[in-house]
Amino acid sequence: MNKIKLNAKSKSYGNVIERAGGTALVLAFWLFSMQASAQILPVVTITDNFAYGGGFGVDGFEFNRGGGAGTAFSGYPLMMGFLNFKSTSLEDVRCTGEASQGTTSHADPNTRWMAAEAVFRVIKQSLNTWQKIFGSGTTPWHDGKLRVVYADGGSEIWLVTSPGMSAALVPSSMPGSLKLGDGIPKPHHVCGKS
Amino acid sequence: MKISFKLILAIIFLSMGLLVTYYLVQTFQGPKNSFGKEVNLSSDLVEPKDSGQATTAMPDIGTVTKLPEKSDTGKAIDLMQNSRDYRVVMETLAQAGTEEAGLYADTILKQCYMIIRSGVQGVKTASTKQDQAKELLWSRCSSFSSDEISAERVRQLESDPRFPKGLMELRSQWNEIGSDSLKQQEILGRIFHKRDPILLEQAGLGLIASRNEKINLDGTEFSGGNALAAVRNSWIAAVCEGTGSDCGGNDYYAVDMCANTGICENSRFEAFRSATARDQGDVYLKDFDSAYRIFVHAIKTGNSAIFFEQIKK
Repeated sequence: MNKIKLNAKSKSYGNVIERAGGTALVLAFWLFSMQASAQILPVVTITDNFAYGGGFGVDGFEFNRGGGAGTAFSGYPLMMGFLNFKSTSLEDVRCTGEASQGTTSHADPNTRWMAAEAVFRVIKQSLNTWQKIFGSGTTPWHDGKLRVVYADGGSEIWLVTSPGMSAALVPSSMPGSLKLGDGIPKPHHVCGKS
Repeated sequence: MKISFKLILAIIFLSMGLLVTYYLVQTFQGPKNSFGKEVNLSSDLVEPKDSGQATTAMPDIGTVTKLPEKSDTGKAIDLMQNSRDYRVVMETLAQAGTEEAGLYADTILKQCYMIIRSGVQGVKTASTKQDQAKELLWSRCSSFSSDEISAERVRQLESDPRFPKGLMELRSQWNEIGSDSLKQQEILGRIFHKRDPILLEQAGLGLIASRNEKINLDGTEFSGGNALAAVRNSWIAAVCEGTGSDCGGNDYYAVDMCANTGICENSRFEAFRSATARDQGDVYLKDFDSAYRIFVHAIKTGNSAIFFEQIKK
């Protein structure tokens, strides 16, 4: 009887470990596949009407606009959808995870600049992956301009002068680019908190 | 036996998962900051490096052969460029109480705010020069506490009586100007008159960036994203020679670029020229050089209308 109980117990532990192992396996494969796909993707030719520089810098960030002539590989629409989702979130101060995530368009210029730098830091983290996909020398910002969306829905264009340096943006935004929101922080549809 | 095999497999993948997670956490974690508060006034000055402008590949600026006298504000930037500790510069600025004090104190706090957050200490070093640049960059800001370089402190600076608004007021006017070109011309004229490198840099970059596809400078057209990037880089470099400021090897842009990207040059001019070659390609060095020549001449002669040529036509 004791033996059976022991066996049942050990089987139960075995199941738990097995599930944990399975989860770890999936996690490990997912993480490694990210790395692997990032290395494979550069040789994929994206021939549709995506233009480098359409970027989420200024004009909004849309891939594969208009459908066009098919897709480059089977996972292409999914990947483009994912990149769209990521990019619209990346330009928003509410998705930075930093103290500046509640910054509105009515904040003083220094606070807005710091929030914009926080947005840029998040974008910069994905730059390597971006360049592996779209080629070295391409950037997610357009002609040195980065559009930042504030917690109240307002937006502003900042100038990227030195992307590799500690401070990437000029502390003054592009003249006339500030579009005021209502000054009330609202939750982001993806990132939530403001 | 079957369970043992699965156990081993599970442990292997669990370890792999943990290793990858650890790697990712390390990658995205910022530097662990430690702020010393000691101020060593005697060790503030950096050993001068090729003071002044670039010595190689400098474009000939043509008719202007003699530099005008350095502006008063040029002294403030020289203090920054030759410092090992920006706290000392802040104190000097506060004591002087001149019109540039507020703008430069603001610039220092903002630079340090970003340097501390940028994770420069975690950047892999490829050369001794880069190592020295990282050390200098960090040293300039390390005597400030995290409270002193907070967003709140930058805001408080605007009402701090030790740092008169002066040039900061002019920058505020520029920031609030919007896209009215007549007002832009008026305020830009005043900025050119002040001949301050920081004010000039920010205003000029805004105007260049507001041109979407091309810019016409002194009859030369620069067209396309890469050409405009070369023009922007040349403007940042040109404000140094134009105002007669010291932008040699200790220039904060040159040091920052060396520390963060490994492009280590002897002046701001050379650093941005190299960055242009790297990011835009050698073919755009021609644009960089032409724009540089035009900009230096415009700053020296106070010709702020250079940015509004398209409007006149």
